[in-house]
Amino acid sequence: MSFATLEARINAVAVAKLANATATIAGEVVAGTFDADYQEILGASAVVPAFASEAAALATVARGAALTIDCTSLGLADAPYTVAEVQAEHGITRLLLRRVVG
Amino acid sequence: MTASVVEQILARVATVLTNATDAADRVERGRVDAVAIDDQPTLNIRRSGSTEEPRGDKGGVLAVAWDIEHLVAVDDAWETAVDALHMQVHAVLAADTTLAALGRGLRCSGTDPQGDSGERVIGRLTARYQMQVFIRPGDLTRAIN
Repeated sequence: MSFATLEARINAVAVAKLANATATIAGEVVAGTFDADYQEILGASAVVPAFASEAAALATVARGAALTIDCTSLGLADAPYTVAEVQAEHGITRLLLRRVVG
Repeated sequence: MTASVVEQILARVATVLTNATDAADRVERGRVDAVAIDDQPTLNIRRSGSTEEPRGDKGGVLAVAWDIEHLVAVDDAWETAVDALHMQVHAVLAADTTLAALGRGLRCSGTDPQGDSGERVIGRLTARYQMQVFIRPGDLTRAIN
């Protein structure tokens, strides 16, 4: 078994076991992990929201894309975000998100 | 005890700026704690170092300096947003006759912009302000104007 195949299997298992949210992007629902840790940024207390999943599921996502997040454990339902940054490594893509304010 | 001329100036700056700009009543004095992301825009007035230059043996010129941090949280164009807020602040300070009576030569001597990314784009512009106050060495509470 190649390293890439093994990595993909491990990532698939990890996402399946650890997913706490879904992202809906262009009509597609993707399971993954969502977190929003608090940080102090230039004197403002803000969260840095991020969604991560298998790279294949997020392959077409680019900066500026719109998505919504459902994350029951954090009380989010259809919460709207845009993608601020795409970080891809080792078969996992992490999207840094920006909250859409009405 | 009567406040120093420095404190009198900073207090006036805070008073005149409150509810006079897009920051509304979010005008802070020397705030060291973080501000909630949804409580923007915000102004934070911070006292800077002041220096005195003697004029003979009975007087001196006190250079009173302070910073005003303009903090905004926006979707994207933070530089434009903090600049607009700074221009509001500057116009209010420049037009205030009470502040002008506390010293001379109000000026913005420079700005320092910083931006960063979180759940929103956060921008901070620190504007350095200065006024000169003539004082007697034995009395830091009264300007000789």
